[in-house]
Amino acid sequence: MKATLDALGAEIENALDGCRSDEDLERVRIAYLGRKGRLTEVMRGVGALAPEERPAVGELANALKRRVDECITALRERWKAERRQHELERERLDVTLPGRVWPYGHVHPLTAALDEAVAIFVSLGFSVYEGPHIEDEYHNFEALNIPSDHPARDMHDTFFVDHTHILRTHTSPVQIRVMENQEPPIAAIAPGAVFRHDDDVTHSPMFHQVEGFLVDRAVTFGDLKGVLSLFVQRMFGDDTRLRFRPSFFPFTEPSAEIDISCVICGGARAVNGGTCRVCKATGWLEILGAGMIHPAVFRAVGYDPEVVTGFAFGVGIERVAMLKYGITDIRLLFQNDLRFLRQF
Amino acid sequence: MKLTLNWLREFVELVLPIDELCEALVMAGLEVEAVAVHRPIWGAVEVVEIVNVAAHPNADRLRLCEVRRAQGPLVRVVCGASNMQAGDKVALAPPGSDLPGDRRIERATIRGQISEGMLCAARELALPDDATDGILILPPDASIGRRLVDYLGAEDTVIDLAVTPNRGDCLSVLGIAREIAALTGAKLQVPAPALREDDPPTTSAVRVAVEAPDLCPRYAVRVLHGVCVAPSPLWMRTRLALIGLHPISNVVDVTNYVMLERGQPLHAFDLAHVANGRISARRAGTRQSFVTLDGVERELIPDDLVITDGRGPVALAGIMGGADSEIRADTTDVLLESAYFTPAGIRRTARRLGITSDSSYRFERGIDPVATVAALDRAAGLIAGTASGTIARGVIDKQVGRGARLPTIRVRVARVNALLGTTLTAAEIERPLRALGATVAGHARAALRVVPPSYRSDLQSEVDLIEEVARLSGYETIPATTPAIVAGGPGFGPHRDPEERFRQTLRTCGLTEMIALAMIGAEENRMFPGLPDLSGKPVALRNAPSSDAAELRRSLVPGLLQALDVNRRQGEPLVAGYAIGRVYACDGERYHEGKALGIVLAGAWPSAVIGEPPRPASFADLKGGLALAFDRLALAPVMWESLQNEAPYLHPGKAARITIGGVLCGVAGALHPDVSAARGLDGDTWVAELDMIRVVQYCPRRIVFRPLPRFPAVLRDVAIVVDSGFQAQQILDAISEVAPPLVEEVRVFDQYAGAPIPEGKKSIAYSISYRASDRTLTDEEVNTLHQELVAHLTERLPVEVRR
Repeated sequence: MKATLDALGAEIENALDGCRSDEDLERVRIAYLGRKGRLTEVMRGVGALAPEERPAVGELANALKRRVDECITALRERWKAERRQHELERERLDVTLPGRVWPYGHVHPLTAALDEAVAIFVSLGFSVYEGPHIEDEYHNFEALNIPSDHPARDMHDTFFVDHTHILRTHTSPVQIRVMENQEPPIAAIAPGAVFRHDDDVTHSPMFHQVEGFLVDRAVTFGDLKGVLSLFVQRMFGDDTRLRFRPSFFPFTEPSAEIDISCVICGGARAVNGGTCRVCKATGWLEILGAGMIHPAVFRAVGYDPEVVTGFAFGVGIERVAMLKYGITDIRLLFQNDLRFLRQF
Repeated sequence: MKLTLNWLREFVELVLPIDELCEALVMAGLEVEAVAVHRPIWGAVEVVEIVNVAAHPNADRLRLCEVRRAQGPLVRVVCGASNMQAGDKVALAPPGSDLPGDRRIERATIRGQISEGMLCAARELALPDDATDGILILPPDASIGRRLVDYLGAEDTVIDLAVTPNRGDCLSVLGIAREIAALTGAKLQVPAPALREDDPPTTSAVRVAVEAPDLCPRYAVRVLHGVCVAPSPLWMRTRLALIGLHPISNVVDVTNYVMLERGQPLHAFDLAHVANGRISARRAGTRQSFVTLDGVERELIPDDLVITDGRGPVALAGIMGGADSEIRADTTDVLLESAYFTPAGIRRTARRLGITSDSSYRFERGIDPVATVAALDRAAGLIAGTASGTIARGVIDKQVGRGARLPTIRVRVARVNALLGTTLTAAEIERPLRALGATVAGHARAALRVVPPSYRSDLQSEVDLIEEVARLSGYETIPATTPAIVAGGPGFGPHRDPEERFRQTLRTCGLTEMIALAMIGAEENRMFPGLPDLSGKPVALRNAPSSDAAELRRSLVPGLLQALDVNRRQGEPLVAGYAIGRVYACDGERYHEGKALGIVLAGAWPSAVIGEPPRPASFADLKGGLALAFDRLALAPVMWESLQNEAPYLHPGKAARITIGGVLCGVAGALHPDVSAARGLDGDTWVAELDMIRVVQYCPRRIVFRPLPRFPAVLRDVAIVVDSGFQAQQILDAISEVAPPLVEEVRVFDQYAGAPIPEGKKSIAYSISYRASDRTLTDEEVNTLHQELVAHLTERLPVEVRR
């Protein structure tokens, strides 16, 4: 019996050696270990042996069966691993090929700059108002203390629509419109397009401003400095320095122009060994006009300048965008060249 | 406003180095636009005196001059000119000195004679030419040994200042000197002109009348006899040239020089051409024409202020003189005018006639009404000194308007501090005001009584003086504070959120934001009239910059098509853009400003992944993008229907009208082939425009959550065969008309034409979702509902169910 088992063991080993696939293995398994398999039959025969022979032979037969089972499983596992390995070797992506081009549009740099400016002021408690672009001369000029024979009108090259209407030359008329309709305290900004008869590398006939003003019982020039410093530093970075210079606007007094330290040379007046061309080697860039609202403006809207004070400011968004992004020709902002717009 | 440092030094000591001076001016509100240092290369040229002139022994056309320098022996110079004689002061370029044009003068031997340098002509020094041949003969007052650049003031620094319109007083050297004195504490000195008057008296030569005292409160004249018109002296020409003025003649140059120096415009008439020796300042009275000295004929209106002689106008007062009475080469008697004309009158006339002269510019901004005669005397003295002639005895000075009554202004200490946010004392407020030249009359602790100086006509009220206090103290001294801003107000307002969501969604769909100018050509504005409900007549600009910017747009489409053109020319395969902006129209009486959205989409989407072909942009892209945006806004039912005739620039069969809640809100589709062809566009150009104000009106104020369904939906499909012109929407409409119970959603999911569908027909497939909120529907239940629905459709519409 033992000899039979040994012979069967050798035969099975031979059969397994000849196996090349899972199907071959299954055939061998059925031939020897199946219900009618040869080893199965041998094992069934163990019961017919003499009781003293049974344990040893039984043990041998079981050991053989275990070995065969293990061998079959091992081969299956190995082949599976080999096939996976083969697959892994065969399946290769060129990860350097470009990815899918998901469509995505770009925000216009003016909108980006305008939104940023508006968001800063809203975060400070200002509310947003709009006004008409086709404005009457009263709101654009007279109410802002710019009578018709005032030389300050030369500062505004005005587009005329009819004998009383013009395209607003600044966003300041929104000041008047808001104050005409409500009582202080008011903290308002008015972003939008304005128009002047001007067209060159730094001027466009249409451009954008954000007007802002704060009117209350005790608003001071110091407050103006504080609010605009906050705005500038949020817009251009905390290390941006400011300079308030006296200037003239008919609708504010005292009036100021605000310069920021040059965004290119940082105020050093030179870059890469040459003079800074952005600030023309002054170290400063003019960015805002501002001042304390003129008593004549308050009187025009029926406020008592003895009771309320306020400040107003205007910032040119094209200039902000040009400085922020290093754009040198304003006309690029209105040409809609996709090679330009895609950069934002 | 250009001026030179040397000129300033005649009025004030400059204690600061130039950099710091400029910084101080900038921080006082006088923007320094440019600083130019003029240092002629011929700095070594010196003043010498000719002692002896002899013929050159070996050359007929040369002279041998002996000249005296400040030190050392006489030197010999060979000279080709012959216009000098012993005793003349001339300019010597000594050996080793440089001249313009890369010339270096060395000791030389000329025809056997040693020449220790060269005697210079004006031309050789690049000085303003006086048109005389020969070398430069200097006036006798030139002292021997002095550097010529110093004597002429040719070595100087020119500063260009931007002066704001309120600071007319800064349009002169004297005015800037006053500012510098106030800023630096240096003392101002104004030399009094030395004047020698001779008989006959001025009144015997001219009679002056002012008939328009409101426009001309003050009018003063002097007369000079025996004047010799010639080029003005070299120093004056040099200085005028430095600040960019062309020298003309001694008389005219002096009027300009004194205007630049004192800020008082002056005019010189040839007295011989002032008829009857009568001068009058009056309104023109009638419409008439007048030729100004630039040779242009001007149309005057009755209200214009003119200066007349016995016959008629001789000058447009304060703006420009007349051609007939201007100073000429043969003028001998000069009538010199110095006046104060009111700013508004000058401005009205100058603006109407489109003239800006140095004179009108200053009058418009307000000159010093008190300095009229001082400037007149300065000019008369300079003319007498440079053009010879005698000054007639006495000045005629008509002060007819309200005299220069200076305001007394109360400046409250508390008010100053309340406005500035400072804690200044009365003394700290007084100091800068005095530095300005104001008189501080009364001085209580709570308020000052201040009389501003006559030359500061801009200082009329308390706040004007508060600004001066802040300006001279320095804005940098005012502490920055953070105000308490009272919360309230609408914040971003109702429009920003929907608009921003629209923008974001369109960008996600691949559309790039574009911004175009609001001005377009008239023809474009007619072709693209905007949405019919909102459009009116175009708004035209009276002073349009060009014909392609003559009107304000009624639609954003033309701007986007222009962008399409720009990008097509760059070879962009796809142009996908949107714009949100104002559109403008006029209904005859009132102007309307709407807010519109525009889209342009043309070309092909680039291949998204290599191997996939590019995909032409289609109506589905346009509709899909907009539909997504509408969906993001949770808008009320949006309907897409065939275009009626809302937009003639669109293809009638390939465009839709978009309604929200039954109201027309926009159009979308392909450009009409004629419009495309006219623009050289081939293929479909997809455009859309929406009325954003209406769209925003239909946005829900808030989003309301709907509970998730608890029971499953059951789907049934149906394919329906219809005529090929049949619109998918008709089935949807027919279903929603009966509002069948338990139908949750109906969706078009396929469209097919071709065998076995008969010619002229197509099949549209719908997927219908049934759901009950309280139970799971059974198959039988759904089958019954679906059969009823399909039966309803075939009864109501000319359609067949595809089996």
